[in-house]
Amino acid sequence: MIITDTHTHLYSDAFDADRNDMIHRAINQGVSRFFIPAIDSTYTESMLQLEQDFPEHVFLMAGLHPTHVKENYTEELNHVEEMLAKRKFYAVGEIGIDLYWDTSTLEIQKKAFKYQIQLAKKYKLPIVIHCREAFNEIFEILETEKDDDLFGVFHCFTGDLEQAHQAISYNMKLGIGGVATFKNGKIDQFLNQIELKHIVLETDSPYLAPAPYRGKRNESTYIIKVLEKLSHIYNVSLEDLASITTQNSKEVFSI
Amino acid sequence: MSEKKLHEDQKYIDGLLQNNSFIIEAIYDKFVPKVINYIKQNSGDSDQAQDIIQDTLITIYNQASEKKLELTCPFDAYFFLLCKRKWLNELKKSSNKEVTIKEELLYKGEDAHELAFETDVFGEKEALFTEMFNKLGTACKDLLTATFKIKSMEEVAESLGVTYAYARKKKSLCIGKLTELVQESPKFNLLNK
Amino acid sequence: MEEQDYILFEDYLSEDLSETEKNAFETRFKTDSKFKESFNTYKELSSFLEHKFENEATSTAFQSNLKTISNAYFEKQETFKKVIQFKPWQYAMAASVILLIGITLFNKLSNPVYGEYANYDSISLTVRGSQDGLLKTAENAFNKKDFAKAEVAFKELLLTDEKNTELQFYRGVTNIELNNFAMADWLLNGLKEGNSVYKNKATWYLALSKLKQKQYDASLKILKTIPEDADDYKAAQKLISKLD
Repeated sequence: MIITDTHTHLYSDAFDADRNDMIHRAINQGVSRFFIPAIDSTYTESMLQLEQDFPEHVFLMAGLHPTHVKENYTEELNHVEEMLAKRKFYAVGEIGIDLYWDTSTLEIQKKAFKYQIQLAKKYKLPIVIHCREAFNEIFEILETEKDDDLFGVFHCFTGDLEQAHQAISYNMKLGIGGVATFKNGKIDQFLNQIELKHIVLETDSPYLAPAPYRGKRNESTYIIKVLEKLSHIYNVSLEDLASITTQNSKEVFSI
Repeated sequence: MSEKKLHEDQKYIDGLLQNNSFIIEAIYDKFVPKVINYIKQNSGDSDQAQDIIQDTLITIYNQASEKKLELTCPFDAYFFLLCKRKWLNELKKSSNKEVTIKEELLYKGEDAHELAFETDVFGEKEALFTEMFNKLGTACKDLLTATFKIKSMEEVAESLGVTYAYARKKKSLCIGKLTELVQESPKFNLLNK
Repeated sequence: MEEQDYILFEDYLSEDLSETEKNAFETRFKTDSKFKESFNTYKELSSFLEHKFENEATSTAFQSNLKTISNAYFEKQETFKKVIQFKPWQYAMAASVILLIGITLFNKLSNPVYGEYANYDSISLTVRGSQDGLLKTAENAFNKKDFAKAEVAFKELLLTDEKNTELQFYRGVTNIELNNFAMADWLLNGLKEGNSVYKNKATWYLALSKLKQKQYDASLKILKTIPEDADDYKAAQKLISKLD
């Protein structure tokens, strides 16, 4: 089985003590492709180091996370632009809008999101969207940006069926992770109505560990639990699902 | 508490907790008629009886689920006493007139009264806590909801876009605020006497 | 109580205090009555919140079930009051059964069914030398309509010959027969969006898969994309007229 974790913060300090072991553990279980979302410039160095240590397995994204859009956001966006011009990245992410806690930065979050979508189109890259309590705002922006160059992943999708269809209409795949295994996660109720070609797998480690590891530090190996849940929902074997979702990830990230 | 023997009617409590439809229906068939009769004889009607019975069963469920409920007397007496207390409270709230209470002696043991009293207090506290929780600001409500649903403070912090340390501190302060609201409420003093 | 005190309560409850801190806490608890009261209330509230949110789903399920049972019981009480001379519900039952039969018949007459349109002959898979045995197994199983066996064979064949569009197509049809629609649709979609010789056939069968799943709108949409020069164009038009 070749399994792709399309969203994992392997550089997080939660993994400082055992990063190499953790990654090897995952690779041994078949999780051999890791797509790494950016947060802001303070993490760039550790991301590059990660790539150096695991060149065959690690694929980096460049971007400014919506919860890190603050007064200095223009500087941060410059950094993203510089990095994209300097070398190859596989996506622009994670970008988007987060209104769960701080609604005061909505305007600059929108600006940052739009700007980075332009960057993605320039380099013909997919975008990886982080959306929390902001479906309407994000859909509004995607509607204005809709064209042949707009595509990507709605990471950690937690909306309803209608929102799923809307996301798909913007050429977005749905990133499905631990939430699918939670008792009141809700998406397990309608996921079988979404065709498999729209699904990619993720862990969002170290956060949101799937059942039965919920509450503990998440790691890429645990993606197997998400696979098992989806296998049950779609009535498709684990191997087939791994193959299908990996193929879908190849389609989005072109690698 | 554990010196007293568990009554065989504990099965009704367990049945409620497990959401076992057969047991719930059995409770209705066996124990509800007496309650309906009592309420109707004391200025109530069928609809009011239905509500009182439902509320009582929910309170029993909540106590059993949150704190464990060990029945050391027949369910009959315990349930009847609880419904009676709830109905009398209703009457006090809605009318100032003197109401003739037709008493019915069922079970003379202390246990039924003691347990019913405990459950009653539990129910009142739940209602008070819920009322005060709803008075908290949105930020505290969201934080506490997230904390107790997600359980890992790291995840909560990430989901709210704040540091772990901040989330933890906020948790303490929000529960602290809730504590103050509860303590300042006049109902609380009545319950704690 | 100060902010510091509430933070202390939380630390005590999560057992995050050192031995000395814990002892200091317990001493203060014994001597300071206000501290004790506040802590007890704080603790009760923590427990209350935990129960409220952790068990929300089961609580709600219980309350909903209780309401149903309660309503059923009280309605029964109402009915027993009247003198029952005939049982109206029996008439209602009969009426709904007749209605149901009527609807099913009507459905059978009006909605097209997968079986009417899925017409495939026996297959003869292209031999490539290396997997003769397994190919024969797949072929025979498919032709004998032993689709479970065929699926196993196709799956294994595709492990080493991933891009083989013929195998993908027949595996897709096999999965429709097995009602494994997620898998079937994925395979057929892939072919529909590709450029192999199976493109149009896969599109036709994808439409049939949606038909079998009673997703008539989705089926119609797919049917309309089948080009004029496709083998199944005429059949597709026939089906379109039935669905539209």
